[in-house]
Amino acid sequence: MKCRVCRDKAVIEVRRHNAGFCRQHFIDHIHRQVDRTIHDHDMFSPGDRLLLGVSGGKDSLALWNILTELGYRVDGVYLHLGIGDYSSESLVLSQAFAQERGLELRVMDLPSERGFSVPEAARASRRTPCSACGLSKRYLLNQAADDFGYDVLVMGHNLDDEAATLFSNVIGWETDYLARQSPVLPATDGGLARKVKPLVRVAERETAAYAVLQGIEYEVEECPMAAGNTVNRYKQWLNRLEEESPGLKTRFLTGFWDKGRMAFQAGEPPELRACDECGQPTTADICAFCRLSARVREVSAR
Amino acid sequence: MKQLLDRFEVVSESVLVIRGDELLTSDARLEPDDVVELRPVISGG
Repeated sequence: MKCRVCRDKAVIEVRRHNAGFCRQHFIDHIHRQVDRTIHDHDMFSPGDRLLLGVSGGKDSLALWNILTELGYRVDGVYLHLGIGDYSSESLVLSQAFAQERGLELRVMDLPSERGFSVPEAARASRRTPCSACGLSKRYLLNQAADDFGYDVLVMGHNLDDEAATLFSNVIGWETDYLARQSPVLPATDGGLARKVKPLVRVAERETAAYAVLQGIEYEVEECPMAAGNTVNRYKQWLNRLEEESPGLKTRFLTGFWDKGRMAFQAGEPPELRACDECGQPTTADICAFCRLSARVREVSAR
Repeated sequence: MKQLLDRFEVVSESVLVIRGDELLTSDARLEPDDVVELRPVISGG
């Protein structure tokens, strides 16, 4: 297989673009895809302070590398969620990445700052681990942006993440979520930070290949709490369809943005208010994270 | 390489195939003594 650009030996095939690329032209291709996404969706404004959620996995570290090479100044925040060796190893990889490149990485530690880990929160609340994790991450990332004065939260969600989430929301007809699913979630008066997803045009396999080709050491092991995770199962299904019909995931997602989402946006968005406990935005009197924290304390006290 | 993926019923979109420090494309030829890594790419939740 030859590189589409220079005709040298290809190192990766991107079937949805009907193309092979050599190392350098694949890297250029990924940079162009991300640059185009940022500009098409007006993700950043000049002078915005950018904070990237860093997990130590391929997506967030690849995105940090891409944005830095595109000339953006982006700080990172790592959330230590107390998932045993997995969290500790991911933190080490994130710190090494930042240190090697002279980037600033902030660390928030759920167990030491809040007194519980994600596994403990899942057990106490009887949520799935991924649900307790997602809730905690959304809360802590928004709080980090607020506390440290960042304008934009940058997330490493890729094409597969967004396509699988869309599939899940369609399966359950989650109309509120369908109304909001977007590469850009604007800041709200109620205190939610602007959130952007520059990797939404890049497939998961491509971020992994980018990380390997750029020599980025990332956490290859999947989170031990995510075994049997529904969204990951949907990703496998979508990949089987993609193999039969290259470009299907992109068509599914971009078609939804262009033609589907507006059908779910007829109603008013839910009104946000400050949580009575912590002041973070919520639609209830007390936010879901404070209710989760209270539940963990209640169970621990028994 | 494609035969290898088919044999193990692996979806090519869900893995990288790595030999040493090189990524392999679907038309790559494998030799009998080659050691390759099938690295899953699906993560998150």
